[in-house]
Amino acid sequence: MRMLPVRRILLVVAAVTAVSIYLIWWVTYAGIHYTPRYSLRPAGASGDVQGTSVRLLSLIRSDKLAAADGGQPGSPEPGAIWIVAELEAVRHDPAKEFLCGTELVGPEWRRWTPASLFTASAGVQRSMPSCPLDLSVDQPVRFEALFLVPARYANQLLGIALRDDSTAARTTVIRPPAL
Amino acid sequence: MRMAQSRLVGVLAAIALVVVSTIGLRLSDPEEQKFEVINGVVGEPAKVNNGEVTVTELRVGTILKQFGRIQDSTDGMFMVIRVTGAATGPRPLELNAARLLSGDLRYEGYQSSSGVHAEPGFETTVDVVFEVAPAHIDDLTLELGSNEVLRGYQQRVRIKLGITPANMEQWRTTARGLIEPMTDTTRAIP
Amino acid sequence: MLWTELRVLIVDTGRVWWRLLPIIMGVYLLGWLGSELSLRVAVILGDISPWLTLIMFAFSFVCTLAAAIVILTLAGRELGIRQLLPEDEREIDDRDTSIIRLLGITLLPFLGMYAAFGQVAEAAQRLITQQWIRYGFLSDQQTVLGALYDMATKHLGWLVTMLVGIYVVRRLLDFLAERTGLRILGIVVVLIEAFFLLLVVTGGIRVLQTFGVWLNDRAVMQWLAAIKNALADLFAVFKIDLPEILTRIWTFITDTIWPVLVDVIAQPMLWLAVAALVFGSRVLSLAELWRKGQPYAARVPGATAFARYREKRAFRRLGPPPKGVRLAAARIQEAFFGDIDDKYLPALHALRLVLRAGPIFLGAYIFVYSLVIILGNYLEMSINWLVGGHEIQFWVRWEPVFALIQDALIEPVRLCLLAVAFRRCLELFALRSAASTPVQIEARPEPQVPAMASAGSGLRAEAGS
Repeated sequence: MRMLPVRRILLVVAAVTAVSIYLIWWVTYAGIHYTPRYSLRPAGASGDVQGTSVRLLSLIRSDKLAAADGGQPGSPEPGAIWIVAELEAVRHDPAKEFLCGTELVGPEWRRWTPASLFTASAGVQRSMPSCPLDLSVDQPVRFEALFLVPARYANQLLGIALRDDSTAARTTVIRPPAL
Repeated sequence: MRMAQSRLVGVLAAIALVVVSTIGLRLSDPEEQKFEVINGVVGEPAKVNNGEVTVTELRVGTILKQFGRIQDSTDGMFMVIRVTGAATGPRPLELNAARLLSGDLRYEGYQSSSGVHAEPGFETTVDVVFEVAPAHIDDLTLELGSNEVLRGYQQRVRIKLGITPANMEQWRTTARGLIEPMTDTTRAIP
Repeated sequence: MLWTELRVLIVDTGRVWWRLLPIIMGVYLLGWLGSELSLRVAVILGDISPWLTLIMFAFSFVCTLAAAIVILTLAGRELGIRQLLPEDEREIDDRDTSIIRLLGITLLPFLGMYAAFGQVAEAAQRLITQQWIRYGFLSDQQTVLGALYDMATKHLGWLVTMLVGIYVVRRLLDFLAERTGLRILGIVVVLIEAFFLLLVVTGGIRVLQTFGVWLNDRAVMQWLAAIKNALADLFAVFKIDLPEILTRIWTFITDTIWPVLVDVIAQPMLWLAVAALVFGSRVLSLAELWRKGQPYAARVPGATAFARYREKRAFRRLGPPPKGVRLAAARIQEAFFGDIDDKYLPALHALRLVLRAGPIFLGAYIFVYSLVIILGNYLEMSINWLVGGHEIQFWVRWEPVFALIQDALIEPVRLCLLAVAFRRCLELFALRSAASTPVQIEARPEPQVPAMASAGSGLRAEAGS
């Protein structure tokens, strides 16, 4: 197995090249595959997730949350404002179920989950229902999702991300119709 | 005779080398330090990957009051530490594992879920409750980390609470009476 | 004398590593790449079946082992191990040194050691991590080890049948490979054997665990516990706290002594035995004969512990070779036991031989080996310190880069050390057989000159050939 120096050098160079190619490929692939990726839908278009197509009707910012029964309006956290997202969902596939994984997407791909029961929105009765589970097939249903975002990002919002943990495909981000 | 003696010395030296190797291996074992430690002090923000963590206040007591009624009392000491976590970057700040270290001793949080969680652009202030033994509060340090199911070399914040043997007595004597942790508050980072 | 050993080990290792650095690095990188690619493919194949994953998982170990064998061979050539053999023993049978055959011999001890020292579990954990991240925690994709443990515990009959089937297939292919001389069959044989051994090792561990649990439930254990308690009561009369003493001694052994024994002493020794296997059973058989004081091997096939099974049986048998039914019986015996003798016993013999090198050399060797491991540990800690703490996604992405930096710097050094240590063993054996002649030698000449001379003549001889 003794080789001439030239062949040795070729072997070493080939090995180093092959390993470098592999490492570059892997780092790029893992960067793409294991960090969240998004695919932006055109303004007003619907996105498909878990057998349901969802459309974003409007994204409204507000300083106070109106209560349906005319009671005390809900206040946001200091420095933050409310974002109300009005959505419409139609279930196509009876075998799959939409699990309501909606998140608000902001600048630099920041994501905010819907306001939880423990925040100021608790106790405020809203007229529109929040995301329903187990929709009937081919019946459009309107619902809303409430978010709290820092005021400084209020004008830089991209849309609503429809999160689906069961696939590695890009996450669909739906946007409100252009004004 | 001389051969046997020098051989014996050689064997003993060999055994000594093996012992030295063992010590060396134990000392350099990477399993010992499986995380990066970020040190901080009370009042100063400690920078972590996704934001900043600050310990602002430290209170002690022997009777715990929560949600408007007395929850528990202890022979030891309840310690309530106010921690503020700010997610200054684009990712949320998740430091959901909190514990107190005192030398080799580890105190887990009194409540089942402790630690801070902040959405991007927000800072959350929580009161973390610990029940500690007054005899073992020397050089108490708060350690915050994240409880990932799978983890690599992660970051952990260690903030010294400033309890030294000198002021330990002071802390122990003030630890009498009611103490009430407040609920979590959130606000946007100003 | 201890100082001589240390000096020889450290200086020669450094010299061999530096001289062969490009080629060793090239071979190591190729082996590493093969192993990494197999693991990646293994994760993807998990989509189809966990068994395919296990096959690729086994293949990754074969790649690592093949690279190690090539590096050891190169280092051995540089050190002139062949030059230590007497003139008329220098012809080497090509079959004995082909990579395929060496792979076959070293696969069991290598995999066994990897399993015993936790490296198989580490690699399996990496695989599981990749699979979890790929499929998500909530999916019910079955992981490799999960499938294996399932089989070991629920379908033990299936596992045993499969193991027997694989063994038979492998013997058949082995036979075919020997008959036809096709290289590719040899590689297939090695692959199947690696798969087989991995199944045995991981499934076997699980079976043992299950057996242990089963045993604990048996009445036998209750009786033993009752006896132990009765004894304790008896000793309590004499005010000896028997269980306490026993448990204290036991915890002392398990916490302090056992990790020492395994990590510090057993690992280097076993690796040296594996290196011994790589350098050739002929060299080993000679070493054994040197030990007995005969510098020249009697060329009687079957005479030494390292001869082939067939030759050994022929050597021991009295009278003409068997015919008819007895021939068939002899063949069957050879088919089953020949394997054990050809592949598994040499590992034991090599270990025995290495142990005879003497405590002074072994102490020095263990020390230098530990130095290399300690260097590796500090390298890992420095990289961690430089990069800082991050979440698991970061590490999954960048882990191959960091792992490569650590391994490529440390592994070749470790392999060079194995070659240097083995060569030193041979020198010591030669010296001892020379010294056991009637003339008592008071001060033995320090063997620095032979070391350099052989290396030098090794180069010259190779250049000439």
